[in-house]
Amino acid sequence: MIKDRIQYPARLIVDTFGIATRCGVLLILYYYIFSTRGGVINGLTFQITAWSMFLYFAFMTLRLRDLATSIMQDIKSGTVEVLLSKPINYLSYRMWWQLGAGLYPFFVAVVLGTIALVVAVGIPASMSSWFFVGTLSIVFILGIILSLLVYAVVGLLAFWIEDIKPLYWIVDKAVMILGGSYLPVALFPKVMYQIAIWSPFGASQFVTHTVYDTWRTGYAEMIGIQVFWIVILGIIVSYMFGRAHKKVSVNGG
Amino acid sequence: MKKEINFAIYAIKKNIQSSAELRTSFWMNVFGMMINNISFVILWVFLIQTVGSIGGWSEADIFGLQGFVALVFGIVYSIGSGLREMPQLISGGRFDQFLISPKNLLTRIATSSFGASAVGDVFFGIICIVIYLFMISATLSQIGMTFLLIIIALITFTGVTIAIQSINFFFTDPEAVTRSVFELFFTPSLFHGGAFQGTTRFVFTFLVPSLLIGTLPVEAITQTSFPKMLLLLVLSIFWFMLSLWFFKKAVRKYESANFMTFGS
Amino acid sequence: MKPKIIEVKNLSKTFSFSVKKHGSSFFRNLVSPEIKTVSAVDDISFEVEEGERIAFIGPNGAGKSTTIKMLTGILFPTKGKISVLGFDPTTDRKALAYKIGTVFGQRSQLFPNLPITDSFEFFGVMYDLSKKEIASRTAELIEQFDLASFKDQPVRKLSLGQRMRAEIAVSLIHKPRIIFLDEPTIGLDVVAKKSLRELLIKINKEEKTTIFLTSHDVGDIESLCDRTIIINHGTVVRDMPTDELSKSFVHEKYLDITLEAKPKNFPELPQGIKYVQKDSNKITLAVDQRVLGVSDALQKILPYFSVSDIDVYNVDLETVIREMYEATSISK
Repeated sequence: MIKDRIQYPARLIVDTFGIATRCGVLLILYYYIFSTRGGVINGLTFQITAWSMFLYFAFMTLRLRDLATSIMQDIKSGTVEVLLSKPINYLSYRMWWQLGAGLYPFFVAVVLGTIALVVAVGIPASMSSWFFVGTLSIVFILGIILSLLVYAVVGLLAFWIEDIKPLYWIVDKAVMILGGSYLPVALFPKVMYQIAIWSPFGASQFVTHTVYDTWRTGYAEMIGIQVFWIVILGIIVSYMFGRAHKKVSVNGG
Repeated sequence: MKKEINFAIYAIKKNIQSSAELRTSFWMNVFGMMINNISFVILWVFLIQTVGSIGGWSEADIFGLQGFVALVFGIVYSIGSGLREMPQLISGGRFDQFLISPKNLLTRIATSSFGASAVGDVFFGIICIVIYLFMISATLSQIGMTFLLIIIALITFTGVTIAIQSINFFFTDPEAVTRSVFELFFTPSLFHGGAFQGTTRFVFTFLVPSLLIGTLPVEAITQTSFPKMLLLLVLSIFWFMLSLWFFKKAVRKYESANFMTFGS
Repeated sequence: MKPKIIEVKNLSKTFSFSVKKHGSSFFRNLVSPEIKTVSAVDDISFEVEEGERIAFIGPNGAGKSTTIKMLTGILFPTKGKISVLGFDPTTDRKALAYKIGTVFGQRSQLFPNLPITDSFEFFGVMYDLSKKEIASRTAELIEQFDLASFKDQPVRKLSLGQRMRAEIAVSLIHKPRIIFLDEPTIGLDVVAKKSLRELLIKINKEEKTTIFLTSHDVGDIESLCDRTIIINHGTVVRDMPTDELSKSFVHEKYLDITLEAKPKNFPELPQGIKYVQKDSNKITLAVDQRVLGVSDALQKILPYFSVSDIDVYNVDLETVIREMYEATSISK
C-alpha cells in the first residue's frame, strides 16, 4: 500500500485534493457561522479559526496515521517477520517511510493553502513574527514525533490483539476531535479544553494552537506537554517493540 | 423480480454465515464504530453550546442528522458492502464472476460481501434517530415521515454510491479517485446542517447531493415539511436512475483485468 | 449435421489505455494522456457444434482469455458478431448465463471458509433450482466427481486438485449445455490433471455437454479435445481435428546429434534436412521424409560432423505447436 503510494504520486495528489476540499467546505461553513455572530466568537475571529484549521488539515496531509495501518498490515501479512530479520530497525524504517510518503503532498498543500488563505483572509497579527515561525517549527517537529509514537502504539498492539481496527478508529477520532479539526479548540467547553491540552491526542496537534493570541503566554507549557508525552510514549513503544521482537523470534524459530 | 430479491436475501444470509469478521471480533467492531461515530455528535453539540443555534438547528437536529447519515451508510455498507469493494473486485478480476451470473449485476456486486463493522453504524443510527424523535417530541406524522425519509435517503445514497463506484471503470488505478469523490460527497453530509445556507446549500443539494441523506430529511421532519419531502423523493429517483444509466455505460468499459495481461 | 451452438464472425477486441508520459506532470497526463491501443483479438471466426470438445490454445497474450470472456459476456467485443446457443452475449448475458457454465482456473468461485456443499447450494439458488433439485444434483455431482471424502471441509483447506474438481462440479450444478474452462489444469500435478481430463470427457459423453477450454498444456489437448484451434497474436493460426494436427507433421523425423567436438562452422545441409537447433555440442535436425529416408539422411550427415551420439524421434505435438507460434511470430 505504502509502496504503491510512492510509486503513484497521482494518488497522493488526489488524496490531498480530497483533504483540501474538506477543509475548504468547512471554512466556508465557519465563515457563515462567524458572520451571523458579528465576526467574533469566544474572542476568536474567523481569520484565526481559518489558519488554525488549515494547520490541522495541512498536518493531516502528512498522513502519519497510516503508520498504524501499515504496521497492522505488516503484522497480518507476516511481512514484519521478514523486515525484522533485516539489519535495520523496523520501527524507524516504517516511520521514515511514512514521513517520506507524506512530505510531497504536504508541501503542495502548504504552499497552495497558504497562498489561498493569504488572499482570502490575510495574515493575522499573531502569525507575523519570528516568534511564531520559531515556535511553530518546534511544535511541528514535536507533533510529528508524537503522532508517530501514538500511531506506533496502536499499530504494535496488533501483535497481541487480533483486530485492532476499532481501537484505531477511536484513537484516530480522539486525535481528530481534540486536535481541533472540525471545531477549533478555542471553542471547546472548559472540561474538553483541558482534555485537549493534557492528552497526547490533543498534544500531537498543537500546531493548531500556534495562531491563537494565547500562544505567546502558553507556548512553553504546551511544548513541555509534548516533550512529556514523547518521553512516556517513547518508553512504551520501545518496551512494546522489544516484547514484540521476542514474540516473533520465539514463534518464528 | 421475486427471484432476484430471494436470491439477494439468500446471498446476504450466506455472506453473514461465511464472514470471518463476524465470528472473531464482531462486537468489538460494532462498539468501536459507535464510539467513532459519536465524535461528530460531540463536536456539533459543543458548537451549538458555544455559539448558539445556527440556521435554526438545535441539539436534537444534530442527533437526527448523525442518526440518518449513520443508518443509511450502515445499511448500504453492511448488506451491500460489495459496492464499496468495487475497485478491488475490478482490479483483481473477481468482477468476472458477477458478469457470468444469471442474476442482476448490481445486486450481485452489492450482496457479494457483508461489512460487519457497518452494523455498528446501523445500531448507532437507530439509537440517534430514537433520541432525536424523543427530543423533538415527535408527532405520529413525524414518525411516519421518518420511516419514509429513511427509505428515500437510502435510495439516494445507494444511487450516489453506485454512480461514484462506476468511475472505477474509467481509470486504471481508480481507488484513490473514487475514495476522494466519495469523501467529497459524504463528509459534508456529516457537517452541521444549519451552517449550509445560500450558495453552499444550493451546491450541496443539487450539485453534490450531500445534504440529501441527512440534513434535508431532518429539516423536513423537524419542520413537518411535505414539500421538502417531495423534493427529496424526486431527487432520490433522479439519482437512482442516473446511477443505473451511468453504471450500464461504465460496465461496457470493463476490461476484466486484461489491461496488463490481455489474453494470458 | 449437428446444430451449431457457437458462431463467431469477424470478432475483434482492442484495448486502449493511457500511458504515463515520463517527464510530464500529473495534470498533463490527466488532461491529455497518450492513448495506446492493443489489438488482443483480431478478426477471428469459427463455429462449434453441439457436443464438441474444443481446445483453444496459444501462447501468453494470444487472445485466448479475451475470446472466452467475450463468448461468456464478460467483455464487450469491439467488432464482430457472436452467437452462443442463439444468444448474443452482449445483450442477453443473463439469459445465456442460465445455459452455460464457466471455470476460471486462476480464480475460485467457491466460498473459501465454507464446505463445498454450501457453494453447491449457493449456485443452485442462483440458478433458480428448487431445494429438491439442488439436493439431488449435488449428490449426483459429488458422486461423479468423487468429492465425498472432503465435502465437509472448508474450501481453503482443500488441495488444488480437489478444489479444481469442486470448481468444475459446482459450475455444472444447473446442467449447462456448454462449459467454458480457462486454464483448468494450471498448477495441477500429473495425477490431478489426468483425473480432471477423464471427468471432463465423462460429462461430455454422459451429459452431452460441449467443452470449450483454453490451455497452455498440450496434454489437455491431446488427451481431451477432439478439435484444436490455435491462435497467436489474436488471429486463428490453425483450426483442425487434433489428430490431424499431430499427423500433419509426421512426415518429419527429428535427429538429436551430440557432437564430440565443437564444429568450426555449421555447413550447408543437403536438401530435405534442416537445422532446428544449433548448440556448441548438440544440434537438432529435421528430416523431411518425403524427400529422403532416415538412413539416407544419416549417411549424408555423418561426414559433416564428428558424432558421439544420435537420437532419432518423431516430433510431439508440443514441438509442432511451438513451431507454429514461432512461425507466426516471425511473419508478424
